[in-house]
Amino acid sequence: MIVNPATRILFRNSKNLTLLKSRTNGYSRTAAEESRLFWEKNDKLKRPMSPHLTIYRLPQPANLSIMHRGTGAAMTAVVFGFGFGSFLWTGKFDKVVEFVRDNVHPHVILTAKIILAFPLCYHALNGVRHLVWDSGRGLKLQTIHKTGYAVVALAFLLSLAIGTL
Amino acid sequence: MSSVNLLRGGFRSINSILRPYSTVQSSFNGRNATLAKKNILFVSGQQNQIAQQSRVPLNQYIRAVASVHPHRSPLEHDEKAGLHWSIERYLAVGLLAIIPGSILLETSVTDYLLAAALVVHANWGCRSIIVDYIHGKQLPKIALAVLYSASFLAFVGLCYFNYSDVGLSKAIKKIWSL
Ligand code: HEM
Ligand code: HEM
Repeated sequence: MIVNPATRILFRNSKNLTLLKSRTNGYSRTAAEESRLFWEKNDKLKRPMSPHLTIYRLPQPANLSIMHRGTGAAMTAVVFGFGFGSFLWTGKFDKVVEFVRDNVHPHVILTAKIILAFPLCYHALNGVRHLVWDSGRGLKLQTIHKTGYAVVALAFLLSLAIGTL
Repeated sequence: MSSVNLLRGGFRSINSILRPYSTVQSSFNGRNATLAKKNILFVSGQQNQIAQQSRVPLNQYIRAVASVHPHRSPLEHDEKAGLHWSIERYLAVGLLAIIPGSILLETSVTDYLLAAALVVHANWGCRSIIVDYIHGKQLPKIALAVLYSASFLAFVGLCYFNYSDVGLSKAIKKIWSL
């Protein structure tokens, strides 16, 4: 087993030396392998999912994280849906808009616009937060909480502003 | 003092720590490891402070070598995945300009750019969601195949809309004028 010096020191006192067996190039496993083994072990031991979603109350950063994912997925549904739909209303987009104007109450339209704007505002602002993290900044736990609240508040204000535009 | 610590395996001087691994190196797999300063995980987190401290616990030194780049792995496959990761971030930054920019400009070039950027970003995003949640031998492959088909179709659809109808930016403005 060839192991580079840093890895050898790292695992010097470790009981997990079997970790290194899967590779002969001096590294332990790739992230993909690691993940696969993790899930295989969980399945084999019939472990419940962690965290237990109906029992464990997610901390604020986790809530905002899943919101980022949710808004991303929801917007993808809208964008892809619009893409597919364009085959249905070829050249008739103006008519679709007129139909909505004639048949939907303005208050409903206003509400819909705010509801449509919120995911984009939140995801864009929180996306910036993600990018700042990715550059290695803003990773202190207190900072994470503060920027989290700031992003939610700003997203509300921004979507109200854009929705009423 | 330092040799005593060295023998105990406790502390080493920063110079003997960083030099052999940042410059000569070590060529894991015949490749030079670049030591990105930002990613060295020291206790203080501040490079200037580290330089002044001049002593670093040995376990931190190992971590500094092990986390040469947060998204870099010794395997070639994963190394390219690190590049992919960076491109995904550049696109996300680009979206911040492309979304408002294309709505303001209303040109056909920016409409097509918006279509491409949205679909590629959404595709990459959904890919990581699928990789996270869908496990097994066949299921992930099927899910990814569905995603790529959907992305392709959505992109064609958005281009078709740009070509045969008012275009994305005007469409957004029309919806917002309701
Ligand atoms: C919609 C567009 C794209 C899709 C769906 C896509 C999808 C993928 C997938 C599924 C992989 C395999 C990743 C893995 O093994 O974990 C991959 C790898 C890669 N992609 Fe993309 N990609 C796209 C665009 C691009 C672009 C624009 C670039 C570069 C400018 C790029 C560069 C790479 C590189 C370098 C790899 C190798 C990474 C590896 O082997 O893991 N891709 N891509
Ligand atoms: C200016 C606008 C946007 C910015 C700055 C942005 C930024 C980001 C960033 C940084 C991520 C990666 C998050 C992570 O590291 O886990 C991400 C994920 C994602 N984005 Fe966006 N995004 C924007 C707009 C959009 C839009 C318009 C869509 C949909 C069409 C979208 C769909 C997604 C999806 C599906 C994900 C994956 C979510 C996940 O993995 O949890 N994004 N976005």
